[in-house]
Amino acid sequence: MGKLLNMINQNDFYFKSFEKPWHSQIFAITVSLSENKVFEWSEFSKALADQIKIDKTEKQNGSDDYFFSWIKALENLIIKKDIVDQSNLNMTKQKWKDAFLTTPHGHPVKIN
Amino acid sequence: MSDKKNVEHNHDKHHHHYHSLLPEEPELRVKAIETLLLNKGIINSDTVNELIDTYENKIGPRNGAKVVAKAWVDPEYKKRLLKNATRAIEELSYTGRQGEHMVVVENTPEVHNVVVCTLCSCYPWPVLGIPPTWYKSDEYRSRTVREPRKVLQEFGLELDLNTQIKVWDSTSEMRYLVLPMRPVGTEYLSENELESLVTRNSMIGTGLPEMPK
Repeated sequence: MGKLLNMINQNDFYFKSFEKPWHSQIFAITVSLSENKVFEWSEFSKALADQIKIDKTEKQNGSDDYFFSWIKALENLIIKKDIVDQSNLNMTKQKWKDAFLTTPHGHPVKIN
Repeated sequence: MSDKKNVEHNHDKHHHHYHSLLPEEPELRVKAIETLLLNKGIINSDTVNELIDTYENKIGPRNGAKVVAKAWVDPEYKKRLLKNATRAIEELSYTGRQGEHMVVVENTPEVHNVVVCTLCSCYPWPVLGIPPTWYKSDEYRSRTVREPRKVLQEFGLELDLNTQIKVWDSTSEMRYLVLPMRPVGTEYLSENELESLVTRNSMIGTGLPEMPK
């Protein structure tokens, strides 16, 4: 008993499809890419399964850590498909970070 | 996408942050992916927002409940459902992503079915929506095959020891929906009333339908 039961109680009765906006965001981006035939869904499923195995240093709770594996799986797949490269991803992430740190609060955060 | 959520007030009694709240690392990575794909025109934000809306608001376990209730009242439909689930579910217009290659497994007094995806989280979206967090947890994925009876007990499901438990491991090629047993004493209920007794967990096999009130 324990972990599983806690999880069931936490998120079964007032069921929400996604717990956080970034979960739904990465989900929708991935579905959209597969519909645009950038990859087959089965290809992504396999990448996700592999990534979950790699990340399995601690028990996955099926929430943040599950979707973090999802992000990494998608990043690797779009790098493999030559759509983006790692340095581009890093640079863009840094731009967002800088934008959040320099935009006064109350203003929309944007990057160029 | 809306940036509103990212610029919420961040007044802290001990520190004054004059900048916007810095999102956590994964969120920044999602933003980076999204920005690059949008710039390249590989995705567009309307489609992405529409997908989110669909899976947040339009598709969910109520679809599966309609399938189950119909199978309870219509023996011919049930036959078709067990024979070719994908096509029978299509009759109710529940089609689309992750709805291909559906298999419906029927609970009986002898056999109780439960569905898992040990590798990732394959799940029949058109009839059940997005899987709950526990379905994606390592705990559920790894233990259900090993000790299904114990896992079901943790869901509050005590099955008769004579009932055999069958575990179905989903893949991206094969997705399962459990057809639970119709609760006793529901002979006089309409299809709509029956539908409201069907729970999401009863269609995964980690629960039973509700009893009529």
